[in-house]
Amino acid sequence: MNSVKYKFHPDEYELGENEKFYSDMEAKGWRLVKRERYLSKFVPAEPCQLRYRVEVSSPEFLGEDGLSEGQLTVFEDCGWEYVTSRSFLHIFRAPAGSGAPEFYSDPVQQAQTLKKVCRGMWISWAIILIALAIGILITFFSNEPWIDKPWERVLAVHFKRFVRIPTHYVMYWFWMLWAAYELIWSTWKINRTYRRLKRGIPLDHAPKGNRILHKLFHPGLLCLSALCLLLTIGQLISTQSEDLPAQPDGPYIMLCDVNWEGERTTFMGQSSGVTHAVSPLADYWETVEYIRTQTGGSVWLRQYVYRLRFPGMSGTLAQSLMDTPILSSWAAFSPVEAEGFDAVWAAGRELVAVKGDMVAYVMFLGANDDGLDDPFICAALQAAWES
Amino acid sequence: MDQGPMTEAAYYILLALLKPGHGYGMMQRIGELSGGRLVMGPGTLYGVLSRMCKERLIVFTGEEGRRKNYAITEAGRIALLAEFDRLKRMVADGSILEEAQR
Repeated sequence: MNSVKYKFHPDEYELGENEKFYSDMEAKGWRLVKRERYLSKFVPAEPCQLRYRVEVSSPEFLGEDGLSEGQLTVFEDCGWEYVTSRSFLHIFRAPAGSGAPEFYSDPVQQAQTLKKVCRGMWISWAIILIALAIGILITFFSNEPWIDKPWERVLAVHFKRFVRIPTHYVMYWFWMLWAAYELIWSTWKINRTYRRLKRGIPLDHAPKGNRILHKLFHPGLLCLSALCLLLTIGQLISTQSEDLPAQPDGPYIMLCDVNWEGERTTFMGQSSGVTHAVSPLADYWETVEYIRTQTGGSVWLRQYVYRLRFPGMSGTLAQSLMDTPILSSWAAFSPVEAEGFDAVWAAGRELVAVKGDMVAYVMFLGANDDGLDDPFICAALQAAWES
Repeated sequence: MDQGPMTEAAYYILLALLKPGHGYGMMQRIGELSGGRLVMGPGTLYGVLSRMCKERLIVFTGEEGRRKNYAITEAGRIALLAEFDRLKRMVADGSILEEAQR
């Protein structure tokens, strides 16, 4: 027989549910020894009928001292055995029919013990809303170089990242949904209990209903978030970054494809390389190439190439790439005629091209170069995508 | 303390503390005083005790092992008498009920 058992317990704001949960476990032969954040620890015991009761006493930061020694003594003198505490919950038990009096003969009096907990919930809401507001402000002002269309640019940056690592974003969405759900549920639950007690309705020590939706939904969101975290880690581990090969090993172009020959060199300590990532939404290649020409000039090429699993995303992705150029202004992009492509836009030394499920951003800087030779680049891209 | 009606729990705790004592002793004494009608829970008792300490109606006098002893203060005695008078007046006012039943 197992010597210890851990089990998820009801939320700390569900007073009656916790009392029933521990009483039921005792009846099944599992005695509570410790309550953690999400799990309770039980040891085997002779199944028996015990009454479990929770006393709410807020910790010091809410202006109370928690469970005092004197209070504990009175509870124990009345026949209640102190078991454990977690946060503002203090758990006691007494044999059923022992005559140990209920903690509160007056529900209104018990409501007073929840007052500070309810206030604490609203403080939590205020902290979250303030943090959210600060986050939004930081996001907004941290993009100071992009004076124009700041929100569009923030969204564009995140859309590009979303295409590359969607599970990372989904993980956050599930996590935020879980956090919001927990907070809303807790606020509703504790305020409902408080209002009922205040109206003189005694606490239900054995509430009915198995709350199956809550039991599935609450941990389910957290599990989905954890699953997405694992997928994100898996994707990051499988992402390959290596030196740029002599010949392209993916649907991207190299300087030799546009007739620039020279010796590979470095720029600000960075050498020519290619990164290949596979995400649930796209295969992604990012390359950077630096060469020194025979005349001593430097030429470099940077590109992002996406092969989308959902071609319908290509328009949004192309717009995101144009909204976040490296060199140009977002407004500088204008359509370019290019045969064989769905659409091509160019701005100075930058170009965005779309063809079916393929989307590319190319930036080219050449010695004594006034711009990008668009048809030349397009032809090279087309050849790379068809090969 | 505001002079509104006192709760039943507060009234009986002050009554019990006419003889200083600890929490459990108070609960037993309250049971005796009310003829077993009022069974005060430990949660109720401690909630009222801490509130009355803040309002200086009672005072902590020392410890007896793990138990804390309390005694009623002069302010508590005045408040108790005021409540007793109020209750007496209410009972007197209600005497018309007995007349009506005759």
